[in-house]
Amino acid sequence: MSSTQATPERTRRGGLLALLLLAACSTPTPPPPPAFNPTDTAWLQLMIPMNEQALPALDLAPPELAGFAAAVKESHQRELVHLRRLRAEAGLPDTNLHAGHQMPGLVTEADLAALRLSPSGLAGELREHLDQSALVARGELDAGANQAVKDLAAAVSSARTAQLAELSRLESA
Amino acid sequence: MSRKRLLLPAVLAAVLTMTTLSAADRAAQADELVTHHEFQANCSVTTHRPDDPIVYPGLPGASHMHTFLGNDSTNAGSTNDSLKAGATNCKTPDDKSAYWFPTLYNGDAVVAPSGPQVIYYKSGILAYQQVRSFPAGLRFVVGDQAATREQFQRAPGAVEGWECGDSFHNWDFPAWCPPGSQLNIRYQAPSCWNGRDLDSVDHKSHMAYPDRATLVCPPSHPVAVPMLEFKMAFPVSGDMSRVRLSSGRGYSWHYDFMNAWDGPTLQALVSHCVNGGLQCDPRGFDQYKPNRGAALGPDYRLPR
Repeated sequence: MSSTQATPERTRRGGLLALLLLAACSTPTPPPPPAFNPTDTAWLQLMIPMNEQALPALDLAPPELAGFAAAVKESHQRELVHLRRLRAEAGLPDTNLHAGHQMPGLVTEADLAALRLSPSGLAGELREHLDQSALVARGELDAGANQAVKDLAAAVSSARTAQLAELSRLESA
Repeated sequence: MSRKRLLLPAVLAAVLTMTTLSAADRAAQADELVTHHEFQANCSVTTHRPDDPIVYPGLPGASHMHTFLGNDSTNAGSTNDSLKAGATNCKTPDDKSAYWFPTLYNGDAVVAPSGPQVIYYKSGILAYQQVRSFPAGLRFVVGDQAATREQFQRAPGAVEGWECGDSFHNWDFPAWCPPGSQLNIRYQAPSCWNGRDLDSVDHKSHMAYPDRATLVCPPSHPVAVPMLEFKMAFPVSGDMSRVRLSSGRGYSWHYDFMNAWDGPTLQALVSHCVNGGLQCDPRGFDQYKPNRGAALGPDYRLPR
């Protein structure tokens, strides 16, 4: 993993050498790096169940959160269209790698059961979900490779900032 | 049948020879008798995080919850270098390795093993003298979080499943455990390395289990390295109906390892305890064979 810093001088010489080598033989240039790195695929395969499993929770919103929940639901569904398209482009199966998992921000069946009994817990549940999806979006921006996936992560990240601000406004109102 | 009859005199002769040995000879022979080839790492829980530096490197929050042991710097961004720069609560301080497994819950409460837990380093092959040290930077995942109950039961890493009290061979959590007992799991890792890759796409296929019948490494994975065996004890008992793993049911049990040992320290323990046929503690000392000495000094480090 360790590499020495290339000076501009060295880079120029390296570039010249590469040109000479290219001219000398007819082999094609090395293949481009894979379009999706492991962070890209991990993020896509996590974000899909994270958004999907939040949808039924959003339907349980108490009246004071109903408008906000409906807006988040619409935005999540739009994100899901892009996420699923990128998942297909990456050649990934549509299996849920996180089925039955306990992790922050992922609404579980048990969470849903608790929300049905007490919908007032939705604000806390939503905050965790929005916070966590903002965190993993930043991870994708830091460590991802595919530009389309990173663009989507940037959109998700800014959507979460706005959604969290709106949730705070509603909670303090 | 005839072969059996022919063998009988030889067996009788051996028994007669044994009975004529003096007490001192017998003691010496007992000392030579190799019953174990192992040492222990004893490491405690550091934290619980939704991170996985092997499966989701650089993506904090992307994994189901994990309980981490040993190196307290372990997070989604951990590399061999970052682990080497971290601190550990393992008794052997030059073991900067990262160890983790899915978090166990009782209802919504995290159940963390308390105090130092045992991670055995054993021989998975019959010829324990041939086990070599882990290569620097080796990492792998043990077990399968997507396993069915049957797959978990038949897995080459399975030992006795989940146990508590007198209840063994449970391939999911027992419904009830005697109050005050602990829920235990032991599970063995593959110990044959392909000799080339420190990791692989599925984080498993660069490693393999030895052949079950012959205890020899397969030709595809010819290099025998220590066999890890996690032995975790969870303080949870009584009604177990709400006990689960962050990855699902009991049969989703699995664990992860990133080797960040100081090379010479691990080599000394492997040579002395695994190759030397001892049952060592984290200092490389076998209390039943004190005459064999210890691999490490009183501070659990190589004399420097």
